[in-house]
Amino acid sequence: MNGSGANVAGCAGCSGNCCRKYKVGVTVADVRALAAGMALHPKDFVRLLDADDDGFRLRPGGPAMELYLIRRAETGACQFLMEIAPGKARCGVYAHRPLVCSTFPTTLQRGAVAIRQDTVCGPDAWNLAAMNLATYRQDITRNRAAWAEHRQIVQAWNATIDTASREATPEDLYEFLLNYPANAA
Amino acid sequence: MRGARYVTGADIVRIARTLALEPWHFTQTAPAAADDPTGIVVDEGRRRVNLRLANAAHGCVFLVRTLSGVGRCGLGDLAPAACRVFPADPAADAPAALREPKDSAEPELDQQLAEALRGWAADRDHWYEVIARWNAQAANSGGTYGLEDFQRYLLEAQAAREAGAEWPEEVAA
Repeated sequence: MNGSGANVAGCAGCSGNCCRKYKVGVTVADVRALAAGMALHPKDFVRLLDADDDGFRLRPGGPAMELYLIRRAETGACQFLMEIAPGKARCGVYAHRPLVCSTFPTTLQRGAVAIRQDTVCGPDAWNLAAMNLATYRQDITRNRAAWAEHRQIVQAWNATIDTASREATPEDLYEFLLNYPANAA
Repeated sequence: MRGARYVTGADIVRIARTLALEPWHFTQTAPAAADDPTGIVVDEGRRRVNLRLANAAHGCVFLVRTLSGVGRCGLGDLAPAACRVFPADPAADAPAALREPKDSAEPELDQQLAEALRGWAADRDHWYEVIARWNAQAANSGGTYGLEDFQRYLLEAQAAREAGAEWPEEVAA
C-alpha cells in the first residue's frame, strides 16, 4: 500500500490487496525502523521463514531464514493493516512502513522508475504520470542500499553462529539485529 | 477519549483527508443528551446523537493489535489531538498544563502540551459552532437532513475555516 504527498492511502478505492496477498520480506533496517517508530519488539511483528538462498542461521549448517512481517491467519492480511470499513483498509504503521511497501508498485527498469505489471493491483491500476517519481526513486535507491547492508549483517550473524556453543533462538537474532554493529566484534 | 467531546470535527476531517476515506467510513453515533453541545439533530428533530470514532471488535477502529497482544494507535501523528495529549484531559475545567509552568523538569514539553491544548480548545469551539449551525439548518429542513449530510457539511465548514472564508451557508452567488 502506498501513496505520495498528503494522501497516504493512494487511491480512495484501495482495499490493500498488496497487504493481503504478499509475504512481506523486510530488511534489518526496516525491522529497526518499525521497532523504534512503533515502540514494538521485533518478536511482535517479525517471523522467520525459510530463505530462497542465503539467510540467517540459528545453528551451523541449519536452514537459512529471512525476516517477514507477521500476517493474520484468518485473513492473510498484514497484522498492521487497519480494517476500517468494508473495502476500506489502510496501513497502521504508515510513517514507519518497510521500504518494500514504500516502493510498491514500482521498480527501476532500464534507467527509469516504472510500474511493475505483475502486481496484485492488475495492469494499469496506477498512473505513473501522477505519482511522485522522485520519492519512488529515492526509496528504491534506499531499499537497494538497505538490502546490501542486510546481506552484510547476515554474514556477521552467521559468523557468530559458526563459533557459538549452543543453538541460537529467534530472540537472540532480534537482539543482535537491534544492536548491530555494536556487537559486531 | 473517542467521544464527541474529545474528538473534534477538525480531527475527523484531517483523518478523512489523509487516509482518503469519507468521515462516515470511520465514525459511529451514540445517543446524546438534550443539552449536549455536540448533539447532532436527526430523525426530524426527535433525536440527538454524538459522532465519534467507530468501534471495531477489538476497540477503536484505528487500534492496531499484534497477534502477541500489543496494542498501538495506527494513526500515529494523525491521531486526534485529545488522544495525542493523553493522559492530559483537554476538557478538564482547569487543565494543569495551561497554567504557567513553574520549575518544570521539562519546560519544552510543557510548552508543547499547552500549545496542543489551546489548539484543541479552538477546534472544539469551532466544532460546537459547526453542530449548532447544522442543527439550525436541519430544524428548517422538514426532516430530510441526515447524518451523512452533516458530515459533508463538516467537510465544507472545515475547509472554509482553513481558508478564512465564510460559513458554507453564507456563501453568496
